[in-house]
Amino acid sequence: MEGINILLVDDEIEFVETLSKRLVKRGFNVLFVTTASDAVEKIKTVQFDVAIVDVRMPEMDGIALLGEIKRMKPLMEVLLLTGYASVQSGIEGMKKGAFDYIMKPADIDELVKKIRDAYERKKQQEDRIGKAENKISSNK
Amino acid sequence: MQSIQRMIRNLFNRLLRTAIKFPFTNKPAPSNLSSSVIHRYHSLQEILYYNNDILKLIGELEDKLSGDKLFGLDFIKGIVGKITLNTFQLIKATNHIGDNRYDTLYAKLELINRDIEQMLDVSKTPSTQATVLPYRDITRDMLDAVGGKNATLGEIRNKLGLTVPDAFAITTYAYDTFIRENDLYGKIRKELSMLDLNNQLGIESASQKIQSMIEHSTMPAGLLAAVNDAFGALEQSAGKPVRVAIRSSAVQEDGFLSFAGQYESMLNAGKEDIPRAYKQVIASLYCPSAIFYLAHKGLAGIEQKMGVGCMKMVNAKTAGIIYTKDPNDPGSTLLLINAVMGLGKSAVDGTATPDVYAIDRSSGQIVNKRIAQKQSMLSLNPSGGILKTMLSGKNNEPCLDDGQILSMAEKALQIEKHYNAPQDIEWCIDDKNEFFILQSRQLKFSSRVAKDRKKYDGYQILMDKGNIVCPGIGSGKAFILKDEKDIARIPLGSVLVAPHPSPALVRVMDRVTAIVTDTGGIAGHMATMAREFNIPTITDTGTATSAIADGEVITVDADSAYIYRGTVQSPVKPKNTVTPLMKDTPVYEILRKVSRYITPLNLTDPMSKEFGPEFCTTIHDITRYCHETAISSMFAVGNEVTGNEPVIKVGIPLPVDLYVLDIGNGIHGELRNRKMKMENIASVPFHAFMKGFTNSDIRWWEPRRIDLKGFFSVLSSSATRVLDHENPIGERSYAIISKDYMNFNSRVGYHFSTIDAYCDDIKDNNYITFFFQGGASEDVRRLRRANFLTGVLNALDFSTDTKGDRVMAYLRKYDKGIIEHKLDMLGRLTLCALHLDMLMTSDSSVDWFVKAFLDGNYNFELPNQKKA
Repeated sequence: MEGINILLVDDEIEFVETLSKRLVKRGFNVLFVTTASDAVEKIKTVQFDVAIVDVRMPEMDGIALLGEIKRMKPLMEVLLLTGYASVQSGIEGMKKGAFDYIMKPADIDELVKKIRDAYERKKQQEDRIGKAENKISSNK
Repeated sequence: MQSIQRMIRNLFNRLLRTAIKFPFTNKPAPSNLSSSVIHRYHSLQEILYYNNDILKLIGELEDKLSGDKLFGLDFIKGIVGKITLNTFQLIKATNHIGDNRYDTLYAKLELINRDIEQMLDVSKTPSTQATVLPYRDITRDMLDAVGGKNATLGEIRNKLGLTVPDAFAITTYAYDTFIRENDLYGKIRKELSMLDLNNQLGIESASQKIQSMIEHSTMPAGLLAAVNDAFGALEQSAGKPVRVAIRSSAVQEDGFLSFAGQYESMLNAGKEDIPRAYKQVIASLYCPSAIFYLAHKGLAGIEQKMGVGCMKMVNAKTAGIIYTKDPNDPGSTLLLINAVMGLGKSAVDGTATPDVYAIDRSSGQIVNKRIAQKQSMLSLNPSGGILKTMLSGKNNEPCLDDGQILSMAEKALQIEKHYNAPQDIEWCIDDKNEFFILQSRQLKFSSRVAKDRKKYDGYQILMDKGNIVCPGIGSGKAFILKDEKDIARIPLGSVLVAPHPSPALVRVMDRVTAIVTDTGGIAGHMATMAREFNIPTITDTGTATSAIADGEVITVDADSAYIYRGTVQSPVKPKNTVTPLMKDTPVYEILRKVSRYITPLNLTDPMSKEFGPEFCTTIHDITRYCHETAISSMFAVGNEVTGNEPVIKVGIPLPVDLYVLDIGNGIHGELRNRKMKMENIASVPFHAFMKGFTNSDIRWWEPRRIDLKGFFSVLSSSATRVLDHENPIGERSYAIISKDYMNFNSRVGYHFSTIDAYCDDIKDNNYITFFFQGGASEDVRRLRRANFLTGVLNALDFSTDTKGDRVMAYLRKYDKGIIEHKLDMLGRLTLCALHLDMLMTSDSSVDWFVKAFLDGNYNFELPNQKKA
């Protein structure tokens, strides 16, 4: 699964640090930040495939960040990190286009499966758009 | 004669290939068709994944609803949160597969979730912000606040009036305070999130780090003051200085996680020892075995909390354990008391050989005493800790006299009755002969099939295996349900014996005394309803439908998974006398109320007009609807394939022109422009189907004895149909395949058939849907073939729905091996059914053809025609 670029966003520094290390161990490219505004800045300059975003963060929360991500990079898939106290936010997020959710603290195997699924979805979307673009240009 | 038949047959085949053309086969294909099929297939996989997960979680909720296991509010919140979010994902995938036709389900889920969240509102639930609580204020519903051991002992003290040493609990809120004020939450999470379950050393190292962090932290001043006050109260009530046992009381301990013995305790501690002992005990929450166990159970996501008990130390003269049933022989009627001299630690950890007293539970008589030779005893060291004294000389005096034994047995049975489950009770007797309960928990038996497997003597056992879905005993005349259409005929008071579980059986649950099935697990729709209706039910017996004769009187003992011939006279109490352990507690009430929005299944009949999104009132309804919708949507997916996709021709001699569209690992390796052979097929269901479809016993290329009337019926009917411009049928057949999936569309002659199947290692995912319609002959002959197919499919355990010449059949939730076998049979059936409408000369011949097929006479030869 080398080559999947992940952005990890959570205000708990120790959590993102260790989760990041574990995902790197599994062969993913991971960059982590601890605020939504840092995430927005990174997205402007780096190409990510999947963002893993905590729902509950101070200032801009995960749902608002999801909106920003979908506005800036519609094809980037987002996985939400939720707790049972934020089920409604999780639903809200998935309505707004999040690919899936993970209950915190994340089960690594479940998370890896969902990252792969999200990446597959992104690839499919890209393929579909690529084909459509080819068709348009060949019709010109 | 043979040459005439061959001539007719060749003519017929030529006719099919050339004379009859159908206009719709040249329909242009949308350019993104195959990606649309792939998209739907991925949605199907998602639906199966979430459906399976939700049903498992519903099973867990129902398990807790039985009330005989401890749980807290956090458990309910965690599991309900997962169910809700998974259901949302399920709805999303269903809308993907169904082009957003089911988006009203979102609003249904939101309504349900709003009600559930109201019920889970923490402000209405039992909680405490006290750091310390005396035992007089504790009952079993306070599991979340004080942990399992404290909650149990509080209940025994306050509800049963039995003696428990004077004690107080340091609450889980205190634990929260300790961890928060020492800033440990993030640090603990960091260590846990690094875990690799395959690395034992890594687990041990994480455990060591967490335990060391806790032990090197400071007890918050407010907490220490509260503990000291409570300790002072113990001394005041004793009227003298006391020492205490500091004991773990984890939220999961003694309950469903069976952590007995994993957590620390410290005996005979003084006031000054409490901070160190407290830290040591809460640190044991992160001992390696506990971390490993939780992670394996998939509970790593649920935050752990620890309550602690501070219990006045009893200077025990004798102590030990009571098992209210023999743990090694659940069927026996004995209660066992183990006793050692001095403190009970050596009996609990097995370092001393105890006296063993056996008491007959029903007569209350002591039936056996085995007195041990005592070599040592443990006692309290006045300056703290434990003393071990070696005993010299002959020490074979019994620890207990008969009066003590009988009185203890009576109290133990009182606890068992209160908790409605056999108990494992730690006890001691002090120097004033006062009896104390130190701990009580549900006894674990080694038997996995049933808690208490008991045979009734004098009755013939018909079956002795299966999954117990709902315990209890029921008897009556067996009704073997061969076809779900016969449900309405099941007489009142029958025992229903069916090949497999089906939600349709709910319609008779008020009529039957027990249910037995050949296949099935303990989860799933029918299992849910059997528990709801309280019907004794055993699934996965293997062969009940063949081992039990229709109409014979049987008794189903779903307490022990036995089925007997005749009516067993059982002393078992009716189930409604049972009072579950958690029942009447506020936490149980919350679970019960929340479950009303989750577990009941109202959508049972997919053919009913009320099987629609607007009728979904529970999460189970939504799940069932989505699952059914997904399977139906996939069924039609084959119609979209036209051949303009990257299809591969099958290069196996077959009577159909077959092409394959691989949508995910259905083919081994790269075929390029070569034709596909059997060895290239990686798709499990398609391989199984093709095995049957290419069965060499079926000599489809050879002439069959043919009925001339049938042949001319085909000719005349063909002409009529072409003139009538009826829905035409194409020439090419397509199979859409992946590793676990196939959708086979066969268009041969005038008939159209589809087989849609999923087959992987998860039984609940697996299904086969079969459809057949049409034929070139006159109506009566097409009906005969439909009846033939229905007869064979029923014999193969399919549920069927036949209307005119249209046959629908389905099979759900069978093991992979069984699904493969059924697909093999469907392959044979599809091949044999070609032109069969011409062979069957009368309605009465249908049964002969069904039997011939089932006997392997696939060429339908009369006895004198069979080849040697």
